[in-house]
Amino acid sequence: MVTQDTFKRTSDSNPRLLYGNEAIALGAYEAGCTVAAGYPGTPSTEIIETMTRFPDIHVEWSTNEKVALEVVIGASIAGVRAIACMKHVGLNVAADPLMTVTYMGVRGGLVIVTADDPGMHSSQNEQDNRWFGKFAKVPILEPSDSQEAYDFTRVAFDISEEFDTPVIIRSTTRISHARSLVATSGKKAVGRKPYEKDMAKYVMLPANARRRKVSVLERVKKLAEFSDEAGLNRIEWGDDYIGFITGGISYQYVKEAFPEASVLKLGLAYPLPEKVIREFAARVKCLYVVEELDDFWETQIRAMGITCRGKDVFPGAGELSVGIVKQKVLWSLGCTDPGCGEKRGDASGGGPSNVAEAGLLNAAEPDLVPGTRSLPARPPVLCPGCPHRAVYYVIKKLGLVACGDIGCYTLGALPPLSSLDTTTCMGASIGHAQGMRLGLPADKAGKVVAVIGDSTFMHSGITPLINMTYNQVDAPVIILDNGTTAMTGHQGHPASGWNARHKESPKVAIEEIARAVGRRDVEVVDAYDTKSVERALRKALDQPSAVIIARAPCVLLARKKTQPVKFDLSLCVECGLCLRPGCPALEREGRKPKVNEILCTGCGLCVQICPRNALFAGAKGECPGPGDGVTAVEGRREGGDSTC
Amino acid sequence: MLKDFAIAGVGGQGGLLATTVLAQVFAEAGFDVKTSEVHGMAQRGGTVTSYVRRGQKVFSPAVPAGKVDVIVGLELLEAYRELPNLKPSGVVVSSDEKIAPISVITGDAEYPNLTEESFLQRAGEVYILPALSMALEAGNVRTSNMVCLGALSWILEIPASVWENEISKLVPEKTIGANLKAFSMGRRWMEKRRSPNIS
Repeated sequence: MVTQDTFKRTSDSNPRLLYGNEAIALGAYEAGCTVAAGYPGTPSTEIIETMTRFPDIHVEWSTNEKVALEVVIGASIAGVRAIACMKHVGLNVAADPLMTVTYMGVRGGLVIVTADDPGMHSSQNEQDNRWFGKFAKVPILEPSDSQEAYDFTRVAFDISEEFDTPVIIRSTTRISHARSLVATSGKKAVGRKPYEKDMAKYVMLPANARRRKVSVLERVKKLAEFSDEAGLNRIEWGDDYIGFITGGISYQYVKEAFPEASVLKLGLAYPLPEKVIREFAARVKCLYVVEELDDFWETQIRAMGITCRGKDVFPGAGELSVGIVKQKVLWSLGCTDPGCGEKRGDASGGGPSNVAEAGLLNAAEPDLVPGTRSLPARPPVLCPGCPHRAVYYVIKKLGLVACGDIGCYTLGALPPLSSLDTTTCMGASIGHAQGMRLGLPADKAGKVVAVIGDSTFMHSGITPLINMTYNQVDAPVIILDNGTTAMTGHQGHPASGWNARHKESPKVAIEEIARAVGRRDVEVVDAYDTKSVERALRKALDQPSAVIIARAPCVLLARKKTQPVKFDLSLCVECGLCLRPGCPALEREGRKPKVNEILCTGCGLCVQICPRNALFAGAKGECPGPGDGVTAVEGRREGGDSTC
Repeated sequence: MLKDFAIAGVGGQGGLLATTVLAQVFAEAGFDVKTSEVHGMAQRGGTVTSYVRRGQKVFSPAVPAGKVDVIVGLELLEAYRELPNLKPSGVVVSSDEKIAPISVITGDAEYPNLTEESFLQRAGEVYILPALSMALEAGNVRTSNMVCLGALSWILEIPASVWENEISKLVPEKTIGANLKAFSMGRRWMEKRRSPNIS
């Protein structure tokens, strides 16, 4: 039985400084979880990576999030505790099994972690995945720091088994990638539950599903009662002038901005504790609902007939902060909104003077330092020596319409390469390319290509490629194969040859898949060799059923580095061509390039571009490259022994 | 007491390692500690700023705007970009390393001329040190982050041995020597310029 006592720790240990993600992983492991599956995605990646530290459980990078959740559901039905971890948009991919496993329920505890990215530090959208809890009628736990990430994950497995439901842990970037101290309580001994075939529960034929739907609705009611009683939601009484209903990272902002105010902290973000909310709302004069992104709680609280301030005060886009919470609340108290005045119960009273009396008004916003707003921005870039750069250089040179995808290579959209036309979601490049071929006038349609990474191709690029063959609308597909899921920190994938534990695993051959699904011209080229890339691309434009695999290991993983490129000032004609690919290792000095020897990996892209051989492979100092790139490319491969 | 720290640099410079060392040092010294970082796309050569906070009880992991006590800069422009978040009269300890953003490489923008005076618009104390050349002297070009931490350590009250212990635990074994040397070089550099431990 999950009660308030669940949160009393059985043993104390020295608190450890842990990331939220590490705390979730440790909480799951110590709760007896034995199967963990996920697909890398910021800010969720380190959960699975941390799980690999425990040798006695199964941990995997699945092909995609849908597969991960399906593996985990299977493990749960079989009777063990299991966890699926993904970023917010990953849950879209896994939504299909989610929406039905909620009917089935669990046998072993089943926990799904969604790590949302308000502010889109590394994402294509900032969807608020709390809606998935309401949508799937599944409870959501929302931790506010690493200690709660640990505690909540442990208790999530208990809730899952007690209420026969999957449980979602919702984290955000500022929980997952923030560190705070965690006291742990030791590993729990949890046995395997005996397996019994139960078709009425686990085979979702319509007749079975209809019965299960009724039990889902009953479950939500019970969970709502539990929400009122469990220690997951708590009131911290303070000054009763302002009360905040908040949770997740917003709780920390509220506590810092208004340390004297009353706070109802929601740890169980869905279903809401209606009794507790009513009790709290009745005792405070001015009620604020502080939540990042959507009005998830606010709309439900208003539906209870409770007046509150929410998204009329706080922004619905991006992250909140201590400053935003403080500023918006103070602003709103000064305003004459009738709802707010009504809540104060006094049309003339309240407002900023009362706030000051309550000791809540504090500090002015800082003045900006003149000029700091207009500093040259430093957006992320493809790394020096990145094998994707040469491919984008050719795409730009040929004036192609390129449908992009999700990964490091999305950075090809940024200046000066500016080589992408679209980026939507994992695997979308290939379907988009097909659609653009259909929609554009003939002269433009012939220039459409798809650009997708190796891991993304495995994740969801294969089905749209089959679709192209089946429906006979072709566009060349360029697979940038750097042998790893690079953006998230170099995880393995089915075509990488190693698994989540960095152990060798069977390597799925991308070229064989492409041929097997009916692509006629499959060619593998050296991603650094601009001439080969250009030749293959020109050919593909005539034979659009082509798949070009531009292959070279991620430069951050490449074992051998060559000498930096050398520059002969006397040969430079200041044409600026070498600067066009935007390599961070090639700086500008007046109108000439200057090699940053610390950053330069000697990849040789600039050597291939320079028409005057002023840039040359640095392996043998005096030896200028031939300007066609062969020397530099081979020099890179052979650890610096160029062959001129 | 200096409580709130920003570590500003460029992805790949070792800012996250510096953040970890600083946070572990504070945890070891018995403080409540929180850090806030951004991973993923932001790390690919972009601006990377992380925060470390210590105290009796820390709430927000990110430091509120204008409340940073010390900016530790691993790159000069990034240290300057963080300046509006510094407390008036706060401290800046920054490497003099300059890494050109792409817009500067392509000639669309100029790297600003940044001097101590630029920082003194807001900061009370500014220390710009040749961290990269000191790192090279220490034997590993990637240890400029430890040079900066060494300089910072001089103005905090925690003994050098605590820092050295945490650094030894956190860096790859082969590089412990170079990292510790870089740390002590940074510390000595600051020792010559400022009285100790007045935090």
